[in-house]
Amino acid sequence: MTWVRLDILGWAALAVLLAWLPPRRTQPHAVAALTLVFLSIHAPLSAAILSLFALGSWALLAHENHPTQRLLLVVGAVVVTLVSFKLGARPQFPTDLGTAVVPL
Amino acid sequence: MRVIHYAVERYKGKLPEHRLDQYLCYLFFLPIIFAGPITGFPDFLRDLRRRRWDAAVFSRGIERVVSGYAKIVVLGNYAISIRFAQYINDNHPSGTPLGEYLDCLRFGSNLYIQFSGYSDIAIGLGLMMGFRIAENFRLPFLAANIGEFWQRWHMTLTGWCRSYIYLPVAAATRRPAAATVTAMLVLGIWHDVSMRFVLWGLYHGVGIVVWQRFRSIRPEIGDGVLSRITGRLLGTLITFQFVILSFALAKENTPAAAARVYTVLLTGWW
Repeated sequence: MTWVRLDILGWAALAVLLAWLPPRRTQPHAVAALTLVFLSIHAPLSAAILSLFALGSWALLAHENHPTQRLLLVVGAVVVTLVSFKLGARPQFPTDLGTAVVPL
Repeated sequence: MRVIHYAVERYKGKLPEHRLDQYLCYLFFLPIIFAGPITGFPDFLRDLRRRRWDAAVFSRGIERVVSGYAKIVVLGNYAISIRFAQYINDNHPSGTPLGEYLDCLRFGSNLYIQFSGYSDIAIGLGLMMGFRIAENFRLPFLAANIGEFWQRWHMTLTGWCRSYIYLPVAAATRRPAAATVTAMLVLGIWHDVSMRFVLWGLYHGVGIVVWQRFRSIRPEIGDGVLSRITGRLLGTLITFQFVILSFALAKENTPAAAARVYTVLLTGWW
């Protein structure tokens, strides 16, 4: 998956449109929703991982005065997943940077 | 990377007030999903709150996107990957020192052009959407030393490693050299979890440590303009060669193959 593909360029153009056309308060949310749809189609595993990390990190760190263990849990989960993901993406590097680093 | 940045900064209590939907907008921001740059959450939040339509900024974004595509397609995919590679194959075959050197140059320049092109597209799209995304490259091959090179190459990842690897390790061990090598090892492994990128990170880490030691003991060059220009040119030339030669580790599939390239480069000229 790279930027140099017409269909990906189409998604980018749609994102730009959604950044300005909907009512002002919902514009960033529309872009985020589009990104989720995009990832779900092109890299469903990435979409699931990123969603899980987003909600998990928010839930674990939502309150003030959270213990260090929660931070270590979030960081550890991200590192383990990232390393596994990189190992799986090894054959593509460095010819396909996009595949190798989603989700960053 | 962005989740770790968010988690650590949140843990430190350094993030401004925000809501879950704003955090989700940060993580699910299409322009930076592919290859960064690793934009900080506070910067993103600032733009999220202040962004407004600006035709001039939108136009700058289009220019940046076109520039990124030109870099990738014309310079990277055509000029370097096809024409330059063809020139190397025809005139300086693999196994000759000049051929191996030019192949390192081809690999390094292509990596830079492709990656900075991706960053240009992401930054341009960000501008078109009203967000200022952090710069990732600032003419790295003009750096006068290896430390400066890493302040110009993949700047957001380098900044991330400085904040979340170098500073904690330096604080814990009180050894800046160990922290530098650790940070560069992580940076290498980020590119690819393999021995060749471990060695690549080690190569750059040791290079930075040697440069820092040299900086503390080097003789005074002098204050004259000519001395400074000469020193800068010499530093740029040495740094360029050091970086280009490091790509032998990255482009070859195994450390043994990279060792063969270095052997040819060291012994094949005479």
